[in-house]
Amino acid sequence: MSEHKNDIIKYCAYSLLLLAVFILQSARGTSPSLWGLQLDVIPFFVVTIALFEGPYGAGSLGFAAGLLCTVGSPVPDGVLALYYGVLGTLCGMFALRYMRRVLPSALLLGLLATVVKGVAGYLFYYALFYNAPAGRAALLLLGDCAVSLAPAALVFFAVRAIYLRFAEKDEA
Amino acid sequence: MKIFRSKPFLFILGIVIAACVIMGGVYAFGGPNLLSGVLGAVVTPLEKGVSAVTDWASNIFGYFYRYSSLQEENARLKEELAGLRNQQREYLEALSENADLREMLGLKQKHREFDLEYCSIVSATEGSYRSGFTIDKGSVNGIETGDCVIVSEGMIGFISEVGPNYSEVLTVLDVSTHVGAVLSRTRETAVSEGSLELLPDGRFKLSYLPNNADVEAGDPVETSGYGGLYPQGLLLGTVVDFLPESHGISSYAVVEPVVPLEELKSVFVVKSFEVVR
Repeated sequence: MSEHKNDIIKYCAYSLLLLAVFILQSARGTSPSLWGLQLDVIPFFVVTIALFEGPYGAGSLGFAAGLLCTVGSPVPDGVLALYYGVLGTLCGMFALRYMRRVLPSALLLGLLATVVKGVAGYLFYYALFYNAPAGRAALLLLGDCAVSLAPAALVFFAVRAIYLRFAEKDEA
Repeated sequence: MKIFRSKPFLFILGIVIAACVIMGGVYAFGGPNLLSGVLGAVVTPLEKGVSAVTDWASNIFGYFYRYSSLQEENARLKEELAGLRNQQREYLEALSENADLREMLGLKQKHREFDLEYCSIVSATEGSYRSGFTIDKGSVNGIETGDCVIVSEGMIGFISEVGPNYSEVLTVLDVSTHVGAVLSRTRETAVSEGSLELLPDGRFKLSYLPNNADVEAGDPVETSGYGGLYPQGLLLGTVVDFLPESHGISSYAVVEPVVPLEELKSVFVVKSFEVVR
């Protein structure tokens, strides 16, 4: 019963962290834009949850993250929720078997998730409807990944801190 | 077959079904679904709070570190204001003369009535290919999808999505924005639209101009008002260049918007309008 209560509080903490990260990333004044490149640490958040909590926790929080990301996004409602939900589940299954809970793993998976999202968006929308040039798209995608790495590390440490805090509680 | 009964597969299937229900709801009913509306209603005030704090910090920083540039800007603006006051006197004289002439000819008096809603910008739209932002007012304040968004200098975008207490705005730079426009000097009609090539420079294009159109750098571009979607006569921007399209059938003008859009902090939404020219 106590363990169940701890899990609820832990996921509430993750949700608040997700909300804080999203607001800092999107609010005017705190959303940094370097040379037209944009920060996006939500994929890194989802894969970090996958590393620490496994497929089901990551899938659920990924779905919630996707719903949150549709606020202020031109992407149709539900698309990002589908992407992050499935991403979280698959990354969780992969990470349980093959990856350790360390920063490089989170950054690697996060980069992969960002690239897949960027390529899918480019191929199925911007290239299809607006003939967006591929060269510029590739540069923008690489740039977005680069500027997101440092904040992604902070997100990793925050998620790890929450996980370790509640892991200690469970052991006690 | 075992895989289709495994827990991970069923979990993913659940996510896919839930997402499809949400997408189907948007397709069937239009606008943001209930969940997105609730999330937007929660997130928007928080973003507004964060923006207010950063604005306060930025003002403090500006007071200490940009004092000399603020002094120069103040002097320049005073000079500009004096010039504008002279122009306003001439404008009021012309307006009065126009009213008298209209009365003599039995024409309806020229007027422009806008029902405006003042809004603050709380966040920018995600994505390197898009140009837009979120404002802190929504359907509760009478804002509807398609409403024109303006600043004192002119039109800068339109409302693309409305929630209860927030709205999403797509600017004139966005690729999905198309506005009927005319060149103020020659009254040549065209369509203003966003362009992925011009977006990094903060400009948009005025398309479907004839190859022999009389277009010069510095020409103002305003809304045509055709179709009744947007008020007539709102300034959209200024022509920077005039170039042929790649297919050669028509040409386009590169236009700079009325204000640098990334510096905006607040806008007005035109909820309803009446223009008589």
